[in-house]
Amino acid sequence: MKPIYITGAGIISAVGCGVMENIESLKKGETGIGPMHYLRSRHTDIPVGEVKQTNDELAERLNITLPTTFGRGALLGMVALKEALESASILPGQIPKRTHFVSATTVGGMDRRELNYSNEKKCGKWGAEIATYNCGDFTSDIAERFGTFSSVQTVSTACSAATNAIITGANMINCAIADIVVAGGVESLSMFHLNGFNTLMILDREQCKPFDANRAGLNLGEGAAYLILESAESVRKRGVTPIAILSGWGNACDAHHQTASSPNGEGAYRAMKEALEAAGLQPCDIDYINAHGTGTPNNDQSESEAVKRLFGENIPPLSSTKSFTGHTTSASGSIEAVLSIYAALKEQFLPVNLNWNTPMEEGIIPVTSSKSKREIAHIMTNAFGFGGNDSCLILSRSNL
Amino acid sequence: MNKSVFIRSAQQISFQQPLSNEWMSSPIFTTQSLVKSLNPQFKDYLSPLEARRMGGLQKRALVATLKVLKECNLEHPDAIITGTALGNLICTEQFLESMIENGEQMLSPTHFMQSTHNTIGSALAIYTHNHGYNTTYCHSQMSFDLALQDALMQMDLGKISNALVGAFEEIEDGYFGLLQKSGYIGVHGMDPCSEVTVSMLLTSIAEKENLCRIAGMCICRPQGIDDLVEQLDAMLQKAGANRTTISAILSGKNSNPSCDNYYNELLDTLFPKVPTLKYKQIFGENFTASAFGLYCAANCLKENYIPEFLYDPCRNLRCNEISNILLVNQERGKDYSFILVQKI
Amino acid sequence: MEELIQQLKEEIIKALNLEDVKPEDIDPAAPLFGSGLGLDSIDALELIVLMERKYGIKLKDPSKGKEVFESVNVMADYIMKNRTK
Repeated sequence: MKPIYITGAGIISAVGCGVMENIESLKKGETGIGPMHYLRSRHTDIPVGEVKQTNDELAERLNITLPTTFGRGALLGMVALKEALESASILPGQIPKRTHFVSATTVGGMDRRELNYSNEKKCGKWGAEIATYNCGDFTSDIAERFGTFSSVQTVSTACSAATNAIITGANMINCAIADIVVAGGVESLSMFHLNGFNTLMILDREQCKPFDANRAGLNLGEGAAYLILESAESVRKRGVTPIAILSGWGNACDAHHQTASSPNGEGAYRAMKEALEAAGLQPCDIDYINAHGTGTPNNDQSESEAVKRLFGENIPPLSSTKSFTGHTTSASGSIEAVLSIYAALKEQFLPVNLNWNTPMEEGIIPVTSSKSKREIAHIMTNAFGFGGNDSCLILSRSNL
Repeated sequence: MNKSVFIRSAQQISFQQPLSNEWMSSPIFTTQSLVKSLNPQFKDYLSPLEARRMGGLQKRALVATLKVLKECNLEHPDAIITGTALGNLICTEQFLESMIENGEQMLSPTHFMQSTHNTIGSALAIYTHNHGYNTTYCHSQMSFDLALQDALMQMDLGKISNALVGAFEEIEDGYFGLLQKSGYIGVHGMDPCSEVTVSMLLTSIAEKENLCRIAGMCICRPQGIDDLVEQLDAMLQKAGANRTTISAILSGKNSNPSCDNYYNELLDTLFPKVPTLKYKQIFGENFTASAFGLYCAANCLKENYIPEFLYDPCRNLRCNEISNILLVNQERGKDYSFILVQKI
Repeated sequence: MEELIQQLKEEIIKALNLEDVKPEDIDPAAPLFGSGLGLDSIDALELIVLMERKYGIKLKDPSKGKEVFESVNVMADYIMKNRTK
């Protein structure tokens, strides 16, 4: 397989708008999880990782005239996409030919629909359009803000969706369908999502504690992130400098249960193993793992098991940045890839795992110090979704 | 696409006779604007305990898939790739409604769990204990085509040698009303709104049971007609064909002028002398209905026969010989998908 | 108590959509989870919703559910002691 170059990235999350702000927060160890401020829900006792901006403020960043008709998710997606395109020297309205857009979401425009729900049967076409605004319409809105991509696609595999969008993008480049693919995911907080996770009783009422013995669930977050994936030839032709290489990826299904991961982490193990093999690397080559690490009793146990199966005694430094951003579900794969690339590969520091105190029985001990003992050349990021849709990426330093 | 890809088996559940190609000889026509699927006997395939949390769509998806796998004598496909614009819509609507009406309290976890789009594809994997590649595309009218493209890519890269590709959609009355108001569906004189269940197995192995060969496909959002023609011609050329070698076109026309105009313009400009066919008069319209098109074309090529009712009445041309069919799917004149299938 | 047990069986069948199970098939002393009906963690969550909706009992900790849902008898006993409606 040919290497896929990453030539740009954009991100917005609870810990900041843009790569710089996000990395600063990781360095300082400042979480973005806190009391609910922007989301309208009766469950105000549930902490969340909100982007600290109103919809209008997000729209202003994009020079969108107020009041905006876009929902929060679309706005978050546009902010991240704008930064990603700019960082790869792609100008709005001048998207190169053979550039595709693959974006992930689950909730899409549900935030707008739930607010309008009681009116939707009464109001006319406009209300019906908000109600029937599907994930594809949502992705198209984000894309069209910046011009015409050669195709626009939506992937939806719950919490691994952004990772799977990146995998689709990489395959499109390898198959010579695309020269450039902008891939990632976006998710805004919504009442729907919060209540959904609440019914599963996996939301921690305090800050989430990934890999801690006393972990009690996840905190939902929101945000968006995109990577610019590019073929070697396109990189050369455009004269851009890659920030990293996507050197391997894996996708496997746990095939165990609709919401729970298997005790031995079979799907996770297979996804990680496949990614390593695709990258032509050994477990000992991995210098950092950005774990899925949601903080639920089930995930962290299952992921620990899978990591131990693959890495044996020599587990690389590992952490979950969900302790900063919250679990951004369909955006988490790309958000965590961007955080890992900039923190670990570019700036050579390990994002720490906040709120960790007590080791789990048979669990992994995450990193609590950001200093890496060795040069970081290859990293792994995990994303596991409901239904056992498990995926993994290997990201490497670029020598170009 | 460099490798040969075949459709080994394909099954549908719709308002035609389910899990059968009886529609070719005895099609069911309807004048209703909304028609639900004819469900097979689920109990023949699934125990009630296994099915306890499954909605109708999920049961249909599973039953169609089990039948395909049985026909192929295959336990584990290398990949399960799903296209669904709305997933388990009924559960999503139920969860949303009770969330608003019960003031965010006492909600069913099952409804939430089912509302996630990948539930169908992952349920197929859970049921068949399949650890292979598994993903779901939810991109409106292109959802199925994207799922198919993904399968073809991975076969092309040699990562898999077969794939289960499915298209699944359900509808409920309230949401139908909203879609109707938005102008997508239920327009006077239009083909009915329906539910979609199509499951098919793609394989790279040439077998006598194969229905047809997928010679090429291209999904694009063209920057204009010239760009579209360039991409279409490139796809055809790669498949060893060109616009004059097409036996018939099977389009996604649905008798709604605001949709059909895009097809007519394209077909009149690029294929003025080619017989055209349509399928939504017997399978209905819904976001992933393009899968019915591929299912339909595969059966016509296998049987070497095009039923008269498939011919588009707006063009008085008939096929002499069917060696291939070009499928055309589009959304709002913005996104296009072309699939070329050939007789084996 | 007998009446509550009977009602509870019917509610469980309804909440968990156990199509082919009849109330008399459920042994009130037998474990609901593990063996027996073949229920899982999502069923437990549905039972938590049932407890709140029907009997006004809020179970905040899903692991508490494990004790309460041991059998229909244990559930009925817990409901008797804690119901608010």
